[in-house]
Amino acid sequence: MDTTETPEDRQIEDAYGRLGTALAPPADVAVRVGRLVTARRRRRRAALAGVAGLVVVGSVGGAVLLRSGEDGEGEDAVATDTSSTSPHGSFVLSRADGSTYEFDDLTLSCAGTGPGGEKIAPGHIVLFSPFQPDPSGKVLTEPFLYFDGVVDQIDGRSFRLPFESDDGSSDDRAFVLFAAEGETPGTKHPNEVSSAEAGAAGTVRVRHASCGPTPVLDLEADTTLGSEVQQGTLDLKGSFVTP
Amino acid sequence: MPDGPEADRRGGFDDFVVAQSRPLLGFAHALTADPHDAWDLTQETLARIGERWGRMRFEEPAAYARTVMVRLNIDRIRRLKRELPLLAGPDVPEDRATVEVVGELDGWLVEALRTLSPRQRTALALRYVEDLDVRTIAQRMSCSEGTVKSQLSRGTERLREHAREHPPLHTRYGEE
Repeated sequence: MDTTETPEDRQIEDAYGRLGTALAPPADVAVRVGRLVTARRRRRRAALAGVAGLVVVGSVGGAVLLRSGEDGEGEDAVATDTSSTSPHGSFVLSRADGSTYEFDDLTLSCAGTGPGGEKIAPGHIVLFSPFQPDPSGKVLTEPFLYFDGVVDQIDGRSFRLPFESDDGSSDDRAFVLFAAEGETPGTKHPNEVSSAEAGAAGTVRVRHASCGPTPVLDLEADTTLGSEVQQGTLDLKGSFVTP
Repeated sequence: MPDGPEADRRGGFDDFVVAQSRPLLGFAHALTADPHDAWDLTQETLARIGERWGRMRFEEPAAYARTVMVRLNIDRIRRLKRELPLLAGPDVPEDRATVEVVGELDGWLVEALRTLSPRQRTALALRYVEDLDVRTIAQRMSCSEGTVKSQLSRGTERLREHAREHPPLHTRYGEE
């Protein structure tokens, strides 16, 4: 770079100084930003619920799904591998009071639609348990598990938690491991926990992940997930393997 | 404002927003050369930090906000402009008219900046607004120092050309 000062350089510096102070935000800037923060959280939760909703409604529009747990062909499965090498695995959620819940009905997909009809982002692989709200649609009757990873960024890698994107945004993470549950005897409030929150610890190991005609995932989690809603952490351990 | 932990978290964040929104808006103005894009960028930057506020430990949240803003501006401003109205929803007032021009500015600089690439504008903003050296600019932009020097050199020369053609004359947006 040419560092020789020119007569115009002072003019440029002064102009930048005025440019930087020429605008003022609205007086209610904190309220407006607060609305956006709320909207971002709402959209993320809606996206999570919508992906899981595929299981409930059983319509995936060309998605290739692989399910673990049940041997029978699920009504919602577009393509189910029933061979001896079918995907298998489960994850156990452990609460502070010692109670546990096992996620053993898991669906793997690289395609499909979320809430509002948006598609699972290209290059993403998702693993999720059935989403089971009460009739109001607002309260979970069973705990819910969701993993979303960017294949190119997670294949063959291990991650120490908490794991967050560079800019702290939920839009740009290589992966997120998320679990939610409704009110339980052991917890006063519903809880939502994830691999990105403060308090998260442990390891997520992705031995293999790919999206082709058939999605492939070899995932192991030995984690404590941090609460997004000011509740306690929850332990999540287990694995999921496709042939 | 709600009570309890949420209120504490919001309270600290609200203070941060009030204190930093104007300097961030100024930095965004230098990054975008457009008051509306600057406001969009500022909102999105603050919203992303707000999403993590109280959960992540920010040692220097103001500096972190500028890093987030730089990355957003380089990579995602087009997507951001498309998504923000959808994200806000119909119950959120239109924000296009809420940025107030309160000071004089130099039309030639705005025009010149609009002819530059986002990366060139970013390098120049970090140089002239943040007063950073080449090494730090490279770190902020996640690129090599050579790339920064190139961006600064080309961008500065373009600004000099415009400055030579225009005597110091300050205008407001919309004025001839």
